[in-house]
Amino acid sequence: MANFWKKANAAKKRMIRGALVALVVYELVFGGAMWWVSREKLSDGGLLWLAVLPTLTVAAFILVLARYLKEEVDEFHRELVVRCLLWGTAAVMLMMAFHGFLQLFGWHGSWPVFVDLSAFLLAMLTAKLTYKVVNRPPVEEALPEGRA
Amino acid sequence: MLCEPNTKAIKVYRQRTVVTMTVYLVLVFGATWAVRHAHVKGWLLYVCAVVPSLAILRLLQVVGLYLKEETDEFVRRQMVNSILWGTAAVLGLSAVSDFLRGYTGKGELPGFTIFLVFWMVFALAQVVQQLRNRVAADE
Repeated sequence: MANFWKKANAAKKRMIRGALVALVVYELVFGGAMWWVSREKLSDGGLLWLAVLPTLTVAAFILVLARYLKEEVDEFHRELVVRCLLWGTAAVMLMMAFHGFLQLFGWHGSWPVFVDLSAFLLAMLTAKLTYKVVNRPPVEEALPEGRA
Repeated sequence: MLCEPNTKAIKVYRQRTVVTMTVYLVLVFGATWAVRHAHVKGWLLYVCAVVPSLAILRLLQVVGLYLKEETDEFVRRQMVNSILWGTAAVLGLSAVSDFLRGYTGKGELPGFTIFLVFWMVFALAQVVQQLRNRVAADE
């Protein structure tokens, strides 16, 4: 872990820090909003504002990604992040389209909340790990010269 | 006049998009017809919902292929920006809807809203970037 942090460039470190801050703020705002909703009887407008607040942290996460893509000088790493982003978006679109078609064909149920956000993060993470495994250099290339 | 890029990769991208959208429409109408007239039931209903959804996946694969094939760094950057805008809109909208559902049990979006919002914001971002990158008349 320490080795990974040492090897990461400034853009990557800033992205990881930004994403972690967004995640922590999201948890706090979401927890606070749920607590408030359970205690107070809010109007529809109030509820809408409380729904928008945690959403801002999701937007902040996308901003962190956009800033990373702007700052990253390594073309390969930038490409990987874009691909992961596409996988995440594809997962959300696939799930929502499947849900839409089921409803179109007469299904009356609905999916649990946060399925789409979870699908996005899970697909991004899976893509990231998959690319990491696929792009691992063979053992003889990874070892310094004379130590193979 | 828009400063529309016309690289080889973008021509292939347009062709692939048109083919995918045509296949998508055929699949949507085919699946809807099968459900309404052939009275498909049980697991076949899930197949009818999955098959047109795969065309949507193909649309994003077309975007991925374009990003791989495009050699013009500037045009590729514009496309990535548009994807980011589309993704931000989709996640933002679905988060608001999810939170409202979490608080009140209401607020579910109509079917295909996410799909439409993504491509509309994506297209809007492309147009805005092309307008901003217009060259002056004397250039």
